[in-house]
Amino acid sequence: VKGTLSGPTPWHLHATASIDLFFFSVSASLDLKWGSSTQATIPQRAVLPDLFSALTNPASWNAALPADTGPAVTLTTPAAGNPILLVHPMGTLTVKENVVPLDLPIVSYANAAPADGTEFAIVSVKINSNPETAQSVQDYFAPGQFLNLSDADKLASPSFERFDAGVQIGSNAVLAGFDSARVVTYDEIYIDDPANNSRFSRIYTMQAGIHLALSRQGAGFASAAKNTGLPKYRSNPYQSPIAVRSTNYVVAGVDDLSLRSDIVSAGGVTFHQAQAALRAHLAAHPEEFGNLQVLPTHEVAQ
Amino acid sequence: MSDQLGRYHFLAWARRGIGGSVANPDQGSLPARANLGIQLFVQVQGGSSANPVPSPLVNVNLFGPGDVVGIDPRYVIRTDPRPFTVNYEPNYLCGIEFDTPNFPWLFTPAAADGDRLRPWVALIALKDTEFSKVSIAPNPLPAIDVNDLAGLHDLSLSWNWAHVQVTGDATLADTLASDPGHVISRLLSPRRLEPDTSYTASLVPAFHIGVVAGLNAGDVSGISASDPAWTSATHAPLRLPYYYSFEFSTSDEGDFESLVRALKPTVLPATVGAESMDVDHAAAGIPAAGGPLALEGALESISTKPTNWTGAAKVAFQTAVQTLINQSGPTTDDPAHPNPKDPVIVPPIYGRWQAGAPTVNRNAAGWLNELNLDPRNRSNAGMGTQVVQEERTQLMASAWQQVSGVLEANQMLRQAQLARAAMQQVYRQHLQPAQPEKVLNLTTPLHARILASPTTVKAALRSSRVPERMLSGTFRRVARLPVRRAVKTGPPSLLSNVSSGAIAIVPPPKAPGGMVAIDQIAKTTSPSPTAPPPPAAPTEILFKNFTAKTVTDIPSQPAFQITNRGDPFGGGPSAGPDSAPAAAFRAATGRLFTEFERLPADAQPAAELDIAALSSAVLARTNPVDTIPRRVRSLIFIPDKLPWQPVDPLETIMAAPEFPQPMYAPLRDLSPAYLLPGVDRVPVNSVGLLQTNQRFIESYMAGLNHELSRQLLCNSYPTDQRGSYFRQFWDVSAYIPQPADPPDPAQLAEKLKDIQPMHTWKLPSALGTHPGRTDVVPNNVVLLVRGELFKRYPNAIVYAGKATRDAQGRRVLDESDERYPLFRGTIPPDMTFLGFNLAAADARGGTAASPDGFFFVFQEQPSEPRFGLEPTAAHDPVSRWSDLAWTNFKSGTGSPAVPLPVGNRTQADVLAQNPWRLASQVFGLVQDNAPLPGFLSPNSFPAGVKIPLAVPDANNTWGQNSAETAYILLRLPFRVLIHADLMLPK
Repeated sequence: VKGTLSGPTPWHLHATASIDLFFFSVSASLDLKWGSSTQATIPQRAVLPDLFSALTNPASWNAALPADTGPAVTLTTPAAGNPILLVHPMGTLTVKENVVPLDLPIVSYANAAPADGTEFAIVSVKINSNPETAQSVQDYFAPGQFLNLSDADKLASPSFERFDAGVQIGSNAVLAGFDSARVVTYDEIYIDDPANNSRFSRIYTMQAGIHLALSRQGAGFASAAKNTGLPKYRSNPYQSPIAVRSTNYVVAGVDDLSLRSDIVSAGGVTFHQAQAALRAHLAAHPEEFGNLQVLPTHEVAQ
Repeated sequence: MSDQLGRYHFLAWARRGIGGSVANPDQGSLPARANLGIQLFVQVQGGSSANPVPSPLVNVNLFGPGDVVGIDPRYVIRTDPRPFTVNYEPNYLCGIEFDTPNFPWLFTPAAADGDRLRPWVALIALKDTEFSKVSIAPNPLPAIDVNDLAGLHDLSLSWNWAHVQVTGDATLADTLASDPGHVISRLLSPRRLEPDTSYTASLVPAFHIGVVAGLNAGDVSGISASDPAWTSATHAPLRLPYYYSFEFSTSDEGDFESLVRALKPTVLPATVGAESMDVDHAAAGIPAAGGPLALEGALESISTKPTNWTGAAKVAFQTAVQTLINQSGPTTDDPAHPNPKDPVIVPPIYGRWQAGAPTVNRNAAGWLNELNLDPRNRSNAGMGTQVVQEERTQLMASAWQQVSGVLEANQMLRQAQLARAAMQQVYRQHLQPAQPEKVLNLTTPLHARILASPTTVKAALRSSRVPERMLSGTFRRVARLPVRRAVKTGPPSLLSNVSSGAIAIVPPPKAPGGMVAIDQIAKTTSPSPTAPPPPAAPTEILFKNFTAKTVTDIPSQPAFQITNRGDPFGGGPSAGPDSAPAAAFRAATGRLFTEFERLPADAQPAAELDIAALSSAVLARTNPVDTIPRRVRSLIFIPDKLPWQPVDPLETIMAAPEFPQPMYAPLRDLSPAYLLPGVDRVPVNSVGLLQTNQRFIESYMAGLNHELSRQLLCNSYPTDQRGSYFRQFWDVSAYIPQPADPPDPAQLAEKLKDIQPMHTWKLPSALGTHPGRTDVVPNNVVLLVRGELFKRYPNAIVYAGKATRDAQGRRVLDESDERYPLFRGTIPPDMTFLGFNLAAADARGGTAASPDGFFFVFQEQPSEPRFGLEPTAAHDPVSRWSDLAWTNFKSGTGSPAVPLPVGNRTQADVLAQNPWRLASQVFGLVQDNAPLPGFLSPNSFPAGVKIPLAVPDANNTWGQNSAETAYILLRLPFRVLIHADLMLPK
């Protein structure tokens, strides 16, 4: 008995059976088809509902205080079960999702094809209907989940890369009201003789450089908030000196390794972003096929 | 820029962070918490919905005034007056300053209405009769019951009493990023203070919801709005929690000048600067060191002298100590020199790592021996050890922060070292000895990434006659190239055969069966000895000679005939032109050959592949010794300030932290008597002369550096232990660069260090001979000032300025020579010491270099202005805001200038000439003669003011916003000049 069954829909069964008796053989074949005759397609799944539910989930939001300051006050513990997110007014608001990488064309989403779009980007933020500036923030995603990669690509390309995952709001906002400038002036008096009255000499003004230097002895610099606890010996507070960066990639020519900054900027992007940019470029310029490649930045001819 | 005048900027309000996005203006009733409705807009490519797609609204609430149940007192950086001041000038307002610029408006659940934003806290000053303390403290804040609400100002106008102060002309955001200490916020109380009265100032919630939260453990249920904590309709008693509170009284002689006048020159005794130390029982087994030794401090009176320590007791003591501490000399875990004895724990040899010397020797000179064998110096170093141990958490936090990322980087470097070693094995064993063809075969995927100058290997391959695919894996499989360990020698490979042309990829086409090609004929018609010579040389019938020229070159053939096959040749003339058939044949052949010539010639075969050159390029460029460091160093960023240039680029990074902070401060905090022994023998309100003790400073700094080396080792910090982490003893943060100083801040900081790096101290050099500064005059003036002045004005400036004579012969300041302190330090609560680059004799005057001597200039701290009004107007009308007086706000008409009595009392003279010195009396007299308001209010305008146009004062108007109010209310600070001969003890 031999048979093949193919599917899914339509299912197709082809089978033959034969029996050898002494002098002759009897054979029969079977050919059956059933099920819908339309071709099965890859299941589809909408991304936006998941994306929005992730973006509106309070757990995706946080408000960190600026690095150079502390909370300054004791706050009450908010009542449990309050569904509304409560943040410190000095904080920087960040929202980050891990559903889908932003600013990256995707072809696969949760083992299905994305139904409602292939590339998503947060382009603007409004607070109380007023436009607000926002910076994108990155997080790690596994590109293999969102792109069609060959086995070789999966092995060769980085498994996790940083892609845009959300935005940061209000990180650089320092607002102030009316500004009234005043020249620093002193009443200058001489004590010529401790037994007698002093004499007023003039209104004294000081140079800006001296003013700034002398003010370093003032209460603002002596502030306990800056000089107690762990920051006590902090030298250059907001700079992280030694940094380990992730590899960035650029597009370069195959023949001479010349940098193609018209496709990917010289600073480089993630591997898969560079690849996506290269694909888009080749679609528009098929004549360059085979002449361009994605390389880590340090391999490109300088 | 240099002649630009110093300025401060007052800002009406400031917001930072997400609170700046609050939209509802500060009008009417405010919500309990500010709400932000946040919407994100998502741009979708390849979708069907209209772009951008808005997300659902996310509601975010900001903590409001009802959520605050306390403030961190560290954020209160100054109060005016200081707590427990007994003689505050009543014509000033009391105020409180905060570290962060946005603090007063942080929790106000509204945006500014124009330039007006009410703070969420208020400063109230109450007389003792107007309130009572709540005996049972509510939870969580302490509270007061206000019995008389007349002492509370109108909260609807509280926007006028809080402002930001920025020192310098940079913007708020820039200053905050570069020098946050230049930005503070301030809250004033608008209440007029009365003379000779005690007050308690309290920082209280300005919103009712904050009051409830402060009294009820943060429970504000049922309150959904932020209303003022009190209004005109509120009834007494009003219970108010307070976040911060301080007490003071108003009286006379609390002004800057009176406090300077109180200072008296004093000769400090020799006991200021040294305490006797008994060294009889240093440790078990250590004999007594003899008589008591004077343990000196970093500062000492100019008459303090070190004890002369000699004699047999010294020898015995030092010998015993040396024997004890040298036991740690040999490295006990060094397998090459095993220590026969058990390891022992003994007192340290301070500085041994920095010095690079494992032991001390009492018979040799040098700082290491002096430091470790003299109990006085050992004590000083021990103080450093104690400081580091006390502060090790903070120090290590900073040390790690200075090299943050180093662990990750070093991990990567170590992994890279492993990768390099492993890959070098592969490279040496498999790639290097391989035949060039093999190298090219093995490295095919890299060809596009390897530059064989000026093009890549792949480009070279493409332009050669070798097809690209010959190096593909598929070809290798099909061609069954042997996959075995490559050997150097062997028959030429397929690749080199193709490259050299020995094997053609496309062989010449074979002729169809039976066809005879022209060239074959040429070969077969070789000359034969029997046959007559052919009419043309065989080469001429090669295909390449089929040209029109060949035809024309053939001599004319007059006898040419065309006959049938077998017919005999008829013969003909032997000379003459072509016969007719010949001409026809020649023409036809000529045309045919012309056509042949038009046929395209075969292209030249492409160039040979220079396999050896390419292979060596590949080998050179795939050497792991280069490739791995190249990749790793491209991923690790090391700042320029870390001078890390190791021979091996994969060496793990080593660094030494640096602490520019003045290290006298933690020593003083440990005990002021360590810094200045006998500190309690300094009289109050005195000015004395001190000298610095470089031996102490070096011993102490050696102790600090030695102990931190140990701590770093203990914490696996990536460092050798030889760094001089601490080199700054005195506080030079307010140093004013002199013309001769280097302009680069890093070089200047280096110049101001108090000790040279310890590893540069020469071993034979004596302790105390390694000062960082070399340009200080000998016997320079170090002033110790103890007085109420520095209690009231702890940050007041003192400097020396050269005196000269004016036309009337009076001594006046010559601004061309001003000597700002080299260093300054404080010993709270009331002592400040200042080091000048000035000899005492020059300060007093009468020397050739300085005939008129120097003034000491005492001036109020420029970043700490004070606010208020003059007691009485000196002029009518007032033409400068700095002359504005309380009497300009009096009710009724009449001149704002209240005449002060001039009598024969001694004080009356002062009253007339220096009224600020008797502020309380003056203000009492003014009050008696003019009905003054109880509060300043933006709604009641001053009378009798005429500010001329086109002066900066004219840009500021009363009652507009808090920035302009601050400008108007700022009282001119004082600077008092007093000659050194009146200040320095004889």
